Amino acid sequence: MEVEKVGAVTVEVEKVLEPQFDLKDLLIFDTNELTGKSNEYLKDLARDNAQLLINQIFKGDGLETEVVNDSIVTELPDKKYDDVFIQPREKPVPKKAAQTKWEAYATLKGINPKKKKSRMVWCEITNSWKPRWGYMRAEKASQLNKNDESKDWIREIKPHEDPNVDPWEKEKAEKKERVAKNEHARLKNIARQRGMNNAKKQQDKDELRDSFRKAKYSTASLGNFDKAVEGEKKEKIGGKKKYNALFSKDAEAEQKQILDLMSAKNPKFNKNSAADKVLNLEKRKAGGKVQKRNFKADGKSRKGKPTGNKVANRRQR
Amino acid sequence: MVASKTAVESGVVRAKNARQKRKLLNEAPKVFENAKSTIFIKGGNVSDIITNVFTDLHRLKSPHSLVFKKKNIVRPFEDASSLEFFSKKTDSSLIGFGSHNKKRPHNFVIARTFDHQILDMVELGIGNYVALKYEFTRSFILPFFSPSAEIAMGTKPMLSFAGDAWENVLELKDGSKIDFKRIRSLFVDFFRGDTIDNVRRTGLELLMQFTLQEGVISMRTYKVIMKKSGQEEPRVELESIGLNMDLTVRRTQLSNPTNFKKACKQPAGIKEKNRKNITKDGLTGEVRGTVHLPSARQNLDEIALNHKKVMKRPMPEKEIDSEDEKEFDQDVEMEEM
Repeated sequence: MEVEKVGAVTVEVEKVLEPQFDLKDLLIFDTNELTGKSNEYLKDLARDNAQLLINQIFKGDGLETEVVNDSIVTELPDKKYDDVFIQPREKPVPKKAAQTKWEAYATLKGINPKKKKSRMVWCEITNSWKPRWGYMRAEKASQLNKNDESKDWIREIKPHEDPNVDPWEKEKAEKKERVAKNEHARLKNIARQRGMNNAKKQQDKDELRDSFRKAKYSTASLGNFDKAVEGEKKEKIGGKKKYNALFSKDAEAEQKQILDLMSAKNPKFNKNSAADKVLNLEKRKAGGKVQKRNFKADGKSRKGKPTGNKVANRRQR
Repeated sequence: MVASKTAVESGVVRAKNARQKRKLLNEAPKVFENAKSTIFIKGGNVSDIITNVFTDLHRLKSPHSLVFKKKNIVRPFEDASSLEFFSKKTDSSLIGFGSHNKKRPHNFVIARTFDHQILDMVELGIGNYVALKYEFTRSFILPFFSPSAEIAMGTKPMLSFAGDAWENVLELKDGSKIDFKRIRSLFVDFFRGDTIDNVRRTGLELLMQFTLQEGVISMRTYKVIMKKSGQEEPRVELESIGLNMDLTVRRTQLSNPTNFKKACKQPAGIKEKNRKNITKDGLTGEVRGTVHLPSARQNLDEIALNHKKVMKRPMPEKEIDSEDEKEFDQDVEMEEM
């Protein structure tokens, strides 16, 4: 690591191990052993390393150089993203914004986005360029007469309109409504996107658990003797379903329990569905077709949505 | 690890004017990020050395740097939540926290955040501090106080990390490990400054060297002077300008590899594009590419070389002079027939 000073000035530096460079950040990583501690030693070492780094930049294999304002400028190569030089970001990578409801519809129908309108418009009245919208907009000029008074001081009431309604107030109110509607739609879009993010995660989780269960059950021992992974919860596959006795063995307590159950706010015993079942039983006995409740393909029921049949039953009663 | 979004960030609350909107856009996650900002915070009790170090580093890092005036009683290794709060409020991802007490004299904590959550933290003890040199130039006309280095603000420093200890993971007596590779990465992040595309050759003025020996990082700063060497590369000489210190590595709190990997995730389009069909001749330095013809091989016998009229015109006569030799290289103008 000695630089030969034989009268002439040299730019050569010898190192045992080749140092690593990242020119984008002007870095040199020299992993050679240190053989001193003094400030002089450190200065020499620094000089050598600086020499090597500057050599890299000046030699510039594949680096473009140009002359800008009488100085030579070198274009630095791309940042290295390998294990040695990678740096963490400041913030996470931006996520692509999901499509809004309109955007999804537009892509489906093949509707192209509107072309952007220019900011300035030629105003014939004032013979000048004015903004299309906002402060000092062009259309306002057309609404003012020579004395800067509004031309819109009188409005004819059409036969179908209510004479007691102030049209200017009405306009203001309508505008407020439109703005509120837009804001509402915007918030709905955000909520939907958030919901989608969460829903997808849950869907993936459910799918994974489902396929895991299936794989377990497919073994000869039905997954009973499988080695459990650290942190894995024991899956209950198959087995007998436990039914808790609705009524206890004690007679008095039994009566009390029935009373409690029937008068409870959230009864375990659903009178309506029980009644339906009874009715369906009777229908079956009579030989009629019973329409089943509308179940989803995955076996989960539609909550809170009354089927046509149920309503019809109620009507019959 | 991901911080919950505020109403403003998620877009529920709208920006009221253009200035607010610009601020939101500036602070939002981007593909090409802003330069990392630094905040320097003083703890309950601070020594002169710490104050001077902060001043020097602030000068080096401005304008992407902020020094808090007031003292903040924070214990980063116990609870760094207030540091995270400051990071969020000032939109800074680098933190320098200084404190001084009997147990940990001249204590300097360097931390970096990801998404305003602490990622890595290193506690260092400052020793043998030499301040950044300033020179008082005596002039009767214009007395002024300027750093002798005369290094422009915002100069990107060259960073040199020397020593084999940087590649090691040190195991302490209590079983904890210090990953010096990660510390090196943290130092790079702290000192590298803004991302630049081009560099003016004469602007390579600042060099900072970090050498690691026996758990002590020696930091030395120099001004780079380039001298003529008769070759394309200049002869490099260094001038000490101060800002030297010996940093004893005390405690560390480095994030686990999974979190670090998450933070290092880069967007899709940023990696170096593989430039195809470009080869450089090592000998001559020519850059070559291959032209792929759509049809089969050219039949050299059937290439039209005889452009009759043109080829039969006589070349204009000229006397060969040293001045005229240049004209031979230029295209000879043909008269229109």
